[in-house]
Amino acid sequence: MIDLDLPLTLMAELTYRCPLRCPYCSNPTNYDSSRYRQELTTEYWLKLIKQAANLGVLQLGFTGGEPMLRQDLELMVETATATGIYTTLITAGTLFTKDRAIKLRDCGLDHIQISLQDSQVDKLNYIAGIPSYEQKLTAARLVKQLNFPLTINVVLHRHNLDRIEEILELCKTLEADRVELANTQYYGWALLNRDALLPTLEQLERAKQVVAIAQQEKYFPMGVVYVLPDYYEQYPKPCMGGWGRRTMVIAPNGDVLPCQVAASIPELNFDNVRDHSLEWIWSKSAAFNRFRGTDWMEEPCRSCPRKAVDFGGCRCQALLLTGDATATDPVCHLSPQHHLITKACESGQSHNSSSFRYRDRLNSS
Amino acid sequence: MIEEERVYYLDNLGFASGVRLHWSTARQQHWLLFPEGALFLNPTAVAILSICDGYRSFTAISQILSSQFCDVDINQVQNLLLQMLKRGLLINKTP
Repeated sequence: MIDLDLPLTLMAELTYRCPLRCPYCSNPTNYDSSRYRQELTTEYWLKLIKQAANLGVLQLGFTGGEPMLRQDLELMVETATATGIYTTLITAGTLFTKDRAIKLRDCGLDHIQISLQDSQVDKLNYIAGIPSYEQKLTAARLVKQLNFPLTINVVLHRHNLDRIEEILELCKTLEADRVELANTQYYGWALLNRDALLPTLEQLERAKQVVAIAQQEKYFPMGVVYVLPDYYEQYPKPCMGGWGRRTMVIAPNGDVLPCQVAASIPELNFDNVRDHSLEWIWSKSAAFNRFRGTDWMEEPCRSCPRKAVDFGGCRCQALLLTGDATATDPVCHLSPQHHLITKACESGQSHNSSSFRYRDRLNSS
Repeated sequence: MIEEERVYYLDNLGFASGVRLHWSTARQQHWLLFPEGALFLNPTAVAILSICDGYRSFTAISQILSSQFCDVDINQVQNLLLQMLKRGLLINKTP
C-alpha cells in the first residue's frame, strides 16, 4: 500500500482560450477541440474550491489559457479567500486592467505571476504572437502599485537565452519579488517546435553563471528559481514531485489530471468533477493511481537507488519519446533509450530555424 | 560567499507582502503560506512568527517567548528569524 499524502496544490485551468500564441504553450495541442469547449460553470468552480480546501489543498493557482477571460474570477478568488487557501493568478497580463486588479485585491487575491517572453519589445511580441509588451509592463507595475507580491516567469529557449542578463535587469526594474526562469520542457506545442527552440550547450552554461550571480547578489527578495533544461541533465526531474503526490490539475472541461500535460497519455481516462468528488478522484481514480509510488516501474528504474528521488522522471516525456508511458524517462543516462535525447540535442544544435508553429488564434473574448 | 558577509538585523520584523500564517482545518496544522510555497510550522515556530508584527525588537520577542515557554533557546529563535529573512518572507519594517 502506498501512504497517500494530501494534495498541496490545485492548478485550476479556467479556460484554454488565450489572446497569446506562444509556440511552447503548455495547453494540449488539441486545445480547441470539442472536448475542451464546454468550460465548467461558476457554480462548479466554487464547489470545487471548497472541496479542495476540505481536502487539505494549501495553494490554488488560477491559470489557463488566460484566466482573466473568465469574468467570474473575482467570485472564485473570494470563495478561496474564505477558506484560507493561498491564491495565485497566473496571467499573461494583457487583460489586467486597473479596475479588475483592484477588485481582485479586495476579494483577497494573494499573489500574481506575469509571464514575460523576452526583454525587448519586438522579440517579446514575436514569441507571444501578438503585440503585448507594453501591456505586460503596465500590468507588472500595477501589481506592485497595489502591493501584491510579483513573480515574473520567463520561459527560456534558444531565442532569448542570450539576453538573460537583460531579462533579469528588466525584472529588477519592475521590482519583481520573485523570478522563475524555466527552460522549455518539450511536450505538446514545444515538442512540435523543438528544433527551433532547443538551446546550445554554450548558451545554457552562460545562463547558469548569470543566474548564479543573481541568486548570490539577491536581486530578488524571494529568490530566483531556475528550472534546468532536462535534456542536458544526467538524471530526470522528479516530475510534479511524483505522480499523484502533491498536485491536482483541473482542465477547463472538468477533467482532473495529475499534471498539466497528462492528457497526452492516451491509455489514461481522466475522471471528471461532474461525476466524482475531488477526494474520490485523488484517492480512488485509476489515472491518479496508475503511476503512484514505485510499484509500476520497470527496469532500470525498479532496482535504482534513485527511484524514490526522481520517481522514474516524467511519464509524458517517456511516452512521447519512447512510445511507452512506463519506460524510464529517456533523459536519464541509464535509460536504454537515452540516445533519443542525445540525437535531439545534436539535431537542435545544427538547426538555426526560428520559424514556429504557433497556436491558432482562438477567440479571446 | 557574498551572502555570509551580509548583515541582518532582527528588530522590527514583519511578514513581507503576500506572506501569511494559515491554520488548515483539514490537516489540523499551522502553515506559513507565501508565493509558490508552504512551510509546515511546529508550535514554537507559530509562537515566534505570530508576534513578528513589524514593531517589536528582538529583545521584546525573546521576552514574550520567555513568558510563554519555560526553556526558550535564543539561538533557535535567532536561527528561525534569520532563515525567514534570507528567504524574503520576513522583512525589516523599521520606519
